[in-house]
Amino acid sequence: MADEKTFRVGFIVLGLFLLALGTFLMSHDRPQVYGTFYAMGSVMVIGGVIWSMCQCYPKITFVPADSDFQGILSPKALGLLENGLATEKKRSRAPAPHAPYVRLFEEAAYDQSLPDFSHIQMKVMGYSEDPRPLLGPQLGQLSLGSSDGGEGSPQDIQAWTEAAVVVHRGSDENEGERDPTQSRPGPPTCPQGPAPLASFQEDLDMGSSEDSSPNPSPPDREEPRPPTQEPKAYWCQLDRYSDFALIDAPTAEDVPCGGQQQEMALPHNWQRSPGTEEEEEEALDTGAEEPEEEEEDLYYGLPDSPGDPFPDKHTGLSPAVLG
Amino acid sequence: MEELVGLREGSSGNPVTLQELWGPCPRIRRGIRGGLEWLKQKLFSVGEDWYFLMTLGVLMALISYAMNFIVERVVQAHNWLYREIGDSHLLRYLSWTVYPVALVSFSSGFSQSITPFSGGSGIPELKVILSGIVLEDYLDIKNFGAKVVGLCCTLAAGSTIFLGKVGPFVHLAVMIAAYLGRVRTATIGESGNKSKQNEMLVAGAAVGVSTVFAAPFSGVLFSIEVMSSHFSVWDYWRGFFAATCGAFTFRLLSVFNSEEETITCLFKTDFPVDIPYDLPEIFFFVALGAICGILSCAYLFCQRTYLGFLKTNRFFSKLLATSKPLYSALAAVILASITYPPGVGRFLASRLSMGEHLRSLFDNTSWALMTRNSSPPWPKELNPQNLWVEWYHPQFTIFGTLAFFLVMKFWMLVLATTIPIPAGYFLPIFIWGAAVGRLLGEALSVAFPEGLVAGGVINPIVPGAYALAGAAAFSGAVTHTISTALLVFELTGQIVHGLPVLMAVLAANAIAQSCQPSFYDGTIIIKKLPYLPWIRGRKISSHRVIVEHFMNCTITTLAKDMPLEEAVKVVTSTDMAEYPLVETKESQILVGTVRRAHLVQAFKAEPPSSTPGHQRCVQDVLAGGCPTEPVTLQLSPETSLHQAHNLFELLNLQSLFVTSQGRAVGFVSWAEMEKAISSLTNPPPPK
Repeated sequence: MADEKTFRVGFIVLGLFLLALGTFLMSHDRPQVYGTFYAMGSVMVIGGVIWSMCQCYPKITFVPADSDFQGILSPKALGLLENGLATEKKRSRAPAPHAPYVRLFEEAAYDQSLPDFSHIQMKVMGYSEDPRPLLGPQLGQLSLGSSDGGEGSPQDIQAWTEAAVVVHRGSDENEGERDPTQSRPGPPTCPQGPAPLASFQEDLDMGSSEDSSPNPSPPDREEPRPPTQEPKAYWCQLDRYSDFALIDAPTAEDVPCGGQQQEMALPHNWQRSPGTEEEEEEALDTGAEEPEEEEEDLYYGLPDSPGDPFPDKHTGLSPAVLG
Repeated sequence: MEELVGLREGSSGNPVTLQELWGPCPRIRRGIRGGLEWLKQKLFSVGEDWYFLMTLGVLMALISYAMNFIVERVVQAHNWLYREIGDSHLLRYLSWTVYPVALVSFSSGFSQSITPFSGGSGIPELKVILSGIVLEDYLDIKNFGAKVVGLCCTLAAGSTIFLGKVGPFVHLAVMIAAYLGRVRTATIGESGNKSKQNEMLVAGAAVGVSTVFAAPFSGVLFSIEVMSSHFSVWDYWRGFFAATCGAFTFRLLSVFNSEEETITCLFKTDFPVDIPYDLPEIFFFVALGAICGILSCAYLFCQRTYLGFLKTNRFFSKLLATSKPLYSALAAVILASITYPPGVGRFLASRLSMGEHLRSLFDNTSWALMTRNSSPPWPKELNPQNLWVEWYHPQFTIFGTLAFFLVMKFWMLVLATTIPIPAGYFLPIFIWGAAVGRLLGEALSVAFPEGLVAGGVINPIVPGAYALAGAAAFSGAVTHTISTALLVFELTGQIVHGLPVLMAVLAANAIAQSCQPSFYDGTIIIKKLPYLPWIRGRKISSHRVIVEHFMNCTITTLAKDMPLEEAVKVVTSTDMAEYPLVETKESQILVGTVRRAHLVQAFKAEPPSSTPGHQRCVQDVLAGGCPTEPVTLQLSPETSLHQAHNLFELLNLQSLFVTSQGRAVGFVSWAEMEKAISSLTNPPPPK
């Protein structure tokens, strides 16, 4: 959150200001005055510095998608929209953030466009448990506007695939040019559970079927919401990230619970290697020391060289590498 | 803010944010977080606003005091230099002139290089912001440093440049208030509530004025009068709380710094309390108010004309556009040369600083009477006990000095207000008004040496009281406020002159408000800021103007059954930020609005129509995921201008749709309102 950084900096600056003021107000017959100022100032400076330092540990990042996937896509014919809206894109892209990645934890667009997931009790379930019952409430909330899903499921799949692939181009400019549908979170529903996703799986060789099924729920839940200012691009990207998170799932059926992939993905990861978490963290520490980098990349377990935001871009996405 | 949540394997309970799961020392962090949550719950049970308001007040007082401190030290250094530099005229002239020139050009260059918004007063822009119009980046915290540094430099230049502190300080206060509002939103966790943000801004404006003068009452009232057209009592409480915290801390810091023994007013005076004035003197007070009103009209007119001249003249506008520091340096050279003490400055009392000007003008003796027989010499150095001696010249007497001061400072102030540095324009007009009052008071005390009421007890006329009234009246007339009367009392602690001063202020305002727009409104007019003017007078048949007469009838609507290609053509060929959505093309029943950005995205997400039989229309696109906003407030063509104006002002609206029996027929934004109002007050000539 960009705001939080300014708060930290402001806190430290305020502490320094109090120290300076205490120096000015130095009068020897009233030591309690400058003593108070010094005390408050130093507490604020030290607190601010510790708070800033605690932000500088490496975070979990997602490995971005591989460029190979682009070949699988059939580039969408943009049709009459493209020309007319080309200028629109430039205009609307202008205020895009400069961060190449969507910051998963802190993006304002994210929090506004997503329905709140925090209330969803995401239980880390054993592999045997059937996640479907948890999908019930979500499906119920789906505006199963199949009337509108005129494209049918292949279209859905295609939309999903496209949506999934664009993820590694984090900046909006690239996305906008390459994928016209990236902003659309996808067709309203995927009422048939596994069937379309089976093709999804074989296309991309990843994920589990239930990944996509909760996907419709957020976009539909968006509709009754008051409109958001931010583009839905972020939301879609996050979805895709979570798709990729499950690339690494040791078992394909290991779909944890309903709700959102994001929640599923990370504890999934967590679950996968609880014991190795320390090693991973150390690896992350040594590997990706990016103290100033504000982006919270969901970094998928590999110690990458520092400053390389796209570690696996050229190596191709394979579970072995990522594991 | 939404965060990803997760649970550790096997643990029960609420999901916690992933940062806690993955960060270092998770237990300590959890402990700290829990502690902070407990603290938050305990503290914020009385409502979190008060803590932030208190922080705002205390912070602004600290900043104000620190600025005063720094400026005082710099001025002391300059005075020492001027004293020590010897007797050579050239060296002394250089030391007197180079100092303000360097400071002003540095202030101008520095603040302009960081942001162009940092110059000038800031109060006109804040007026626009508080009326609901968003001026982007004006309240960005990164302007803070530029403005503080620029303001310190301006103040350090002192009475040579003759500018004050109020305007930029209010801007600083509102910036800090906006920042604290964001902190508050982050702490509480609720997403931005625009009315809460506005509350903080209004409180910030009140704090700004009150910490400059350590005057909470007049600070709040002045900020209400200058910056709001409608003010809710809810904001009143908050403004007062923050302003009191600020003023208290400001005076407390003086006590801590051993400058004062206890909390007192800024300018101490010694006026007689038993019989402060005789009854006939009230007539003279009111006359003084009228004179100040006329003079304020002249000042406002000259200032606006000169500002307009600068903008239109080719040479000056080019100079100001390309090299602001150069213009500032030139103006500072002119001002400093005139105020050079061995030269013309001798007749302007130019060795006094701004505060010393006020202190000397509020002096409780009558200079004319004191200098009638004796002739005090001009001291080599400034004597803090007898500051008024600066105003005395053997040949010209105090009348000549005061008159010369008034004449010269009039045009010098007009010049100084055009320098692009962060500066406040209230204190100089306050001092100028005090000089007007002093002149009149001295004249009266010479005319009536034994007071106005003959026989019995002698109650001499106190010119200092006239200076009080003059200061309040002139500054009130220029800014179109009445709270300057209260400000004068809070500054000096003298409320015994309450009624005459208030009457003077009312008289001055009556004249000024009927002739000229206020200082800040004039700046809004010159800078063409987007502000809804106020409908003047009731006798211009404004009640008969209805919305139908001035609404914008050319609206582009998107009908739900419009085919997609046509809709795309409409969207790409027009440039509105928001499109009204109507039911069908024939019925034109307004059902909502849709934002351009969402519409564009929805269009891009549309697949090309692969199935030829089914023609997709706007309705499908909308159902596919484009959010529409309902229309909550509409105007009717028969709504009067006054009603529409009230709606816009009260609710801080930007635009409204006009519907007649449900059909969307027009669109009214503040641009149309402004045009309607201005054509009412200045009707265009008939063709």
